[in-house]
Amino acid sequence: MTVQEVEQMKLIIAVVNNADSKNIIDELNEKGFKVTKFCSSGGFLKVGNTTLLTGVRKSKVDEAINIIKRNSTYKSYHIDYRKEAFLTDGYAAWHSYSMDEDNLLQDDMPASWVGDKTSGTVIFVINIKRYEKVINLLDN
Amino acid sequence: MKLVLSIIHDEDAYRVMEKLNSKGFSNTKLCSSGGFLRAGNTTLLCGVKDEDLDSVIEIIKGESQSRKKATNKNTQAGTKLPKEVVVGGATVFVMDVERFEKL
Repeated sequence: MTVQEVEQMKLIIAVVNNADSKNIIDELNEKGFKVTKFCSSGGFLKVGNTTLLTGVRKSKVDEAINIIKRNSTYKSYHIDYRKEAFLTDGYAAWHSYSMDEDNLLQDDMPASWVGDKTSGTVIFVINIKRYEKVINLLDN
Repeated sequence: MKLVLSIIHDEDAYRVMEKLNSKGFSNTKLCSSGGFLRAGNTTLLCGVKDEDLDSVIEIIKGESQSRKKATNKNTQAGTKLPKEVVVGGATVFVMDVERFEKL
C-alpha cells in the first residue's frame, strides 16, 4: 500500500441494532470490508446494540455506508414506562418514576411498541492519520 | 460535529450517562477494560455539535471521580508490598467527524 493510499483511510464507527448487525456484517464481509464488532448499549433505553468499527479507503466510504443504510431495517423498539413518563413530563418525572419501586413491579401494564420510527443507526466517519495493517505470515 | 470518546470508571458511568441524557446528548456505552489493572471500565461514544462540546466535557468532568486503589503490579522485585495508584477520573478524546448520519 503506498503512502498516498494510507492517508486516505477513514474510520467508520457505526452503532446499529443487534437485529441488523448480522446482515450488515455479512454484507460488509462479502464486499471485502473488515469489521470489528463491539457489544455496546444505548445510553437512554439501556438496551444492547452493536458498535462496528471498520477502516475503509476514502473511495469506499459511500459503499460501506450504503450497505449499513440498506440493512438498517429494524424500525420498532420497545419503550418502557419510564421513557413514556419522560416524553410526557420530562426528566424529573422519569427520574421519580425510576426511583419509585412500585412502578418497577407493575408487570401488568401493557408494553408499548412504537413502529416506523428511526432504526437507531448512527454512523460516524473519522479521518485516520495513520493506518497500518499488520500481516505476519510464518515463513515455513 | 465532533465525536467524544471518553473512558470513565464503571462506577461513574451511570451518573455520567444520566446527566448526558438529561441534557439531551445521546450516547452509546461500550464495555472495555484498562491495560494496567485489567479492570473493567466504560467507554462512552457521544456525537455532539461543535457548540455543545464544552458542555459535554464539563458533564464528564463533573461526574468522574479519581479513586485510589492498591495494586502490587510494578512494585520492586522481591517485595510483595502493594502500592497505591490513582484510578478513575476520565480520559476524553475528541475527534472531528467528517460525516455523520442518523438513520
